[in-house]
Amino acid sequence: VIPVEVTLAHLADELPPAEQWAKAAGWQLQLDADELVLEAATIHPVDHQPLLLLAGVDSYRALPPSWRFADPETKIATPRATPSRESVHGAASVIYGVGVICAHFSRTAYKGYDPGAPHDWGGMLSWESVSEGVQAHVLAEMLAVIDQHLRFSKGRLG
Amino acid sequence: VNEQQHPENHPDHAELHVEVVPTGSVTPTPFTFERTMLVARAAAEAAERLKYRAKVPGFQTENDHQLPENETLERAGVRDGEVLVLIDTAGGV
Repeated sequence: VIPVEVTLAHLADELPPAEQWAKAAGWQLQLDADELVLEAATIHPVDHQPLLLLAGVDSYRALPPSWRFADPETKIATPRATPSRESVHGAASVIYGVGVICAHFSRTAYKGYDPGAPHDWGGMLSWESVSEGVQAHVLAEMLAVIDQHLRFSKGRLG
Repeated sequence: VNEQQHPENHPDHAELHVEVVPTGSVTPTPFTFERTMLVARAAAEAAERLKYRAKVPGFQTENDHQLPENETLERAGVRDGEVLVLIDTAGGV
């Protein structure tokens, strides 16, 4: 846990380039600075219906964001809100399942966040040094990786 | 066949001038590569120079076409002036 002011300073550094990327890539970003939740909205590449990617950014960058797709209205992760997981040029997608983005830069991949999550990786505090899988170390890179993998999704989980 | 029609026989034509944009960025950086350089090697060079921390650096076009890593840039169809997006081709886990 780190002071809110430190997290906000990191976000002040990383959000402007992330917003530049988002604008070019068809995403809309919005930070709730009180709740420390980042909302990233786009549309599904196949059904063209809204998608909402949420990330708790409390204690960022000590902890990675808690990326997950959620219902745009209820903000709850559901199968319907989650894009289907498809191979990305033969590699696994980071879009893992309901409520989980499975990559070192996503808190939802760690057992320390959810005991049912896939990985330990030495704990969430080690996220920047985890070398397994696709790499992303700032918000814009994380969003771009998720977007890259989303483009292979053919539908929804439910 | 006129030898000068082959790009590799003409010093000025042996190179490709491209713009590289790391994924997550909107800022291109000019790069010059040999046409005969493998895609994987060129991507690794770009990643190192741009300090882009990819596990497996690769390129894709602006139309999301991923270039084959073991082809030369020329055989992969890269054209002079093209914008290449530098990506990490490693997958989720």
